[in-house]
Amino acid sequence: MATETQSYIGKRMKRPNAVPRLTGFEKYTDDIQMPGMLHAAYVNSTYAHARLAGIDTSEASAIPGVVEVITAADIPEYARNDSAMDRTFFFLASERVTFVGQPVAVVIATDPAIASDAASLITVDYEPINAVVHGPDAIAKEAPVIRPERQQEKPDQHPNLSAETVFEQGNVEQAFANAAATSDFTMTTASVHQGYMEPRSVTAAPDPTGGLTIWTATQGQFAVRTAVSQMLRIPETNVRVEPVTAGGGFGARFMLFEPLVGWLALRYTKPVKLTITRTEDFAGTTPAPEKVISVQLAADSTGKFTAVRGDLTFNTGYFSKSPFEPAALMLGSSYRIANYAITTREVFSNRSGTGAYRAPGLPQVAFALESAIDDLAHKLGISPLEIRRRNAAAGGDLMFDGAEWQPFDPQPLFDEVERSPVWSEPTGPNEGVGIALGLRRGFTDSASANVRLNADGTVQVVVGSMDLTGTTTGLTQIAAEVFGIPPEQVQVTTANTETAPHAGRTGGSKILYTVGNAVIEAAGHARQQVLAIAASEMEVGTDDLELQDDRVTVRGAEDHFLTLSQIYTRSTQPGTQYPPVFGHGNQANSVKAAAVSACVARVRVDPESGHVDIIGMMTVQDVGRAINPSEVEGQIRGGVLQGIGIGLYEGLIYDEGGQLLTGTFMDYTLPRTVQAPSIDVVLIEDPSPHGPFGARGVAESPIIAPAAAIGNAIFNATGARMTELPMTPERVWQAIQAR
Amino acid sequence: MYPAEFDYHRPGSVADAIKLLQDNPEAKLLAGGHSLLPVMKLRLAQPTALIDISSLSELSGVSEDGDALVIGANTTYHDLMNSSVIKNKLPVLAEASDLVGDVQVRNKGTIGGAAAHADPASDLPAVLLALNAEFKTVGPSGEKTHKATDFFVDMFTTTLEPEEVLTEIRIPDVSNVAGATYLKFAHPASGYAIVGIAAVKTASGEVRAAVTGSVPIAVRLSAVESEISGKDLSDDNIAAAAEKATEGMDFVGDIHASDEYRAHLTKVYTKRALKKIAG
Ligand SMILES: Cc1cc2nc3c(=O)[nH]c(=O)nc-3n(C[C@H](O)[C@H](O)[C@H](O)COP(=O)(O)OP(=O)(O)OC[C@H]3O[C@@H](n4cnc5c(N)ncnc54)[C@H](O)[C@@H]3O)c2cc1C
Repeated sequence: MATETQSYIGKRMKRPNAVPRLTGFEKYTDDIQMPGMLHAAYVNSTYAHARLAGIDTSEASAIPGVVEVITAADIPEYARNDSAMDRTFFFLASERVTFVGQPVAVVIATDPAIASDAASLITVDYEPINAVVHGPDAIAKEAPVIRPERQQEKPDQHPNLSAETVFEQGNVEQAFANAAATSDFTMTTASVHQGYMEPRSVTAAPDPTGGLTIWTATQGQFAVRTAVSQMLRIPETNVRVEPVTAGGGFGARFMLFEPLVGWLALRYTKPVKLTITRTEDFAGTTPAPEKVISVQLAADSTGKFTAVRGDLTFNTGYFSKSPFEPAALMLGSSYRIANYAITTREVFSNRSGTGAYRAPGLPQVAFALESAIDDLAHKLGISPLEIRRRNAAAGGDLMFDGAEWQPFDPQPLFDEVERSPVWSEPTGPNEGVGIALGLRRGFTDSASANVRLNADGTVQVVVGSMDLTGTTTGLTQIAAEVFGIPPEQVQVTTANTETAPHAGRTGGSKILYTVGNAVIEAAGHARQQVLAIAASEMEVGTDDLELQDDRVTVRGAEDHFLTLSQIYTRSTQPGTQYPPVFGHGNQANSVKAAAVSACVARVRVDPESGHVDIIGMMTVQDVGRAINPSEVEGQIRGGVLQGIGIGLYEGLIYDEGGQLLTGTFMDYTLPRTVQAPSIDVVLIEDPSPHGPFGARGVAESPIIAPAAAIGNAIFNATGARMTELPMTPERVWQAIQAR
Repeated sequence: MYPAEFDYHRPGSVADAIKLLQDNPEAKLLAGGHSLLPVMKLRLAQPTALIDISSLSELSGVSEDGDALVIGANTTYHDLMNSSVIKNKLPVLAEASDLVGDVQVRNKGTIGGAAAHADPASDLPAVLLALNAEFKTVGPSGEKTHKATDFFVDMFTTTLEPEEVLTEIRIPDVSNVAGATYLKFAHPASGYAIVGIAAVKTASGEVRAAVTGSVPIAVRLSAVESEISGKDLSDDNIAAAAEKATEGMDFVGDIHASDEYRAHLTKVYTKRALKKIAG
């Protein structure tokens, strides 16, 4: 479909679900109230590593309103699996605690305040063991063993080494020996929390026939159902997951304690709710891992990159979930580099587990790589923009894993950078400009959708994907465009696991990219049925019909029409010869589209304090096709702001004993409006061959480059190279001193 | 985050508040609640009762008493920023208040609560020290007045006795203030001072400076003051005086800033504050 003939694609339609969110009427999981509901509160470990010698629950149990205090001894054997690699699959620590914030007991009471009062009265007898908190320390010889069971499983490697992968090609030694310039940095980047507004919350209620309903703001309802079913040993048909609106997810919100709350609901045959506090959320959920990334980059005298060496350590905490492989893949695949030797590993430590956070691992990898590129440009006297132009990968290039980059061209992005005043205007004293590239291979999935006609002629689209980013708006516009009616007449609903057509998890920038195609097919299918009914009723060929607004009209005969409402009636009345309008689409989009952005930061550094002021910021991104430019720009601005947070402010800080020192938003600096600079967004629309109307995944790319661009801008302003994230004023000041 | 259980009282007068404090040894006064409630929610403080003095009108308002300004303990940051008396006579108090936390904190937080809490990173104590403020307290044994230099004792510690109420803060010799400023290097999340420097120049040629944030409790920069006193505020004299800002001082370090960095910033901000009042 050519752009100029599109009525609704590319329009800045308002988000249908914006009003309830902005006016406080949206219902989140913690708002759910049910008759007889019980409330749960965790008791969490205050030690990073200790043997559990005993738990005294007597005082807590005696409080009126306390139903029960559950410890590991009360839970079924199958849920007492301390060696599970995912927190969802074991309820409470039984013999050992391995991070601060790990649940050791759960109190059930008639009221949430009683539950938390009782939780504070439980005394746990800990016998402390040495803890290890930082990634590189975890695989030192003398490090305490985090997972003793691994010593038997893998006796020939360090027990705290979870996994290690090597990517190698060509002759790296020779390339470095012949290089005109080389760069060598080791970057340490803090663990960052996804910082969603709504702390995690789950409600579960039993139904009379032994089934279970779980309300949770999950990014993957079908995966939750499978996990609960497996864990509690009940068939999936007995588990219904109701996806609730999420107060932000950013990759973190898949599942955490859904099976536990489900089990409690079955145990008491009552609804049970567990909402954790912000501090529990900081301490015990799934932030992005701390990383140490070493990069060495070599170039010839023309600035062409010839080789890269890398060594990456991802500190995954107690659970194995870190993106150590995909992140390493991008270290050598964002630019054309023929020779590489990269080792990437994941190590266990006494921290909570880790999880996905928007473009997992890539902001940190980009910080290392893009700093090295900047350094080479500086050493070779080539403009930082030019060196990127000469080396950036493009569609058709091979990635490390042998896959080809799908079509994309970074050069128009560089043209936009050149045109941007953020890049091109002269800099004043203590000011600097930096650039970085944010490249990401999108994810993909199969997906399905269905489309029905309602009695009043409006159109109902049903999907199984939860809306984390505004996909409801985009899917509405897609359905409207294909069906041929205004978006106001379309409603997109996410149904529950019992009724929704399947969709993959909301993550990897792929909901619009995959479910969008299913909606195109389903809406087209429904439209054909509508036209067929109209053609038969009005005794004309379907080619003679036009579907517009609320009706199907015979071309050239304005009075000769049937409304969509009439078509509904004629296809549903008793004895009708027409089947009800029911379009379905099921698509397997197996091609991973490329998403590319470039970011420019302009900073002013106070050389006496190290304070960094962002005085200009621009991101240009190839979005394929902006189905809704407002939603797309919003995604990009949000990603850039999170990238600024990762660059300048955010980091979970632990002391040597593993205590979390940043347990509230008073200490953990999530950037807020006062820290948000104005962000210029430029959209490029180079269609992806496989996305709906050419759309590419949008959400993740924009978070990748900002931290790196800011680091490069600081170098440009001060001559000081930053090697730690976040780049706090003190670190900037130190780097300036060390110049 | 739920605080532990507590009783709630709302006395009708300062006298009643004192009586309640005597009857409830584990009770706490509640003003704006922006220091007390956060620590209660984290269960770092578990008072058995709160005595809410926030609506006592005898504790609010800004007035003039001869050449002094009298500020009721319940006066909020928002009030200070919007009081015409303050804006005309001592704008530095309005300017410093504008730098505190966020809008909600400024709407609820009080000058009395900030002084009584004596948070080492709080802003107004430094300003009040540099302004030579006096603190009036009332307790079972009657009224007392403390100089600012005596009032702030240590981290979270003042001369206030457990059964006393801070009622007003008095700034003397207002017409003698010829220039005043407060500059801070703020923590980006909370807004609290990593370092805050208040500086005052009087018509009689005196320079007073105080620091908060980088030290265990806000304190006058006496070495700076004696270095600069009697000299004109030239760049060279200011630079020499600012170098003294760390003399004889202990600096605090935490996850937000090391003691070394805070000491450095103390010099930098002292220099900037002195330059500002030099005009
Ligand atoms: C998000 C956030 C950001 C903040 N940022 C800043 C900042 O940037 N700079 C800054 O300076 N502060 C900051 N604060 C603290 C804020 O200024 C507090 O409001 C202030 O420190 C305390 O005043 P209050 O009226 O809220 O006191 P409360 O919290 O009500 O009381 C504090 C203590 O003082 C006692 N008390 C109160 N009034 C009296 C009285 N009249 N007599 C005796 N004792 C009394 C109470 O019993 C309690 O122990 C911030 C607070 C928050 C929550």
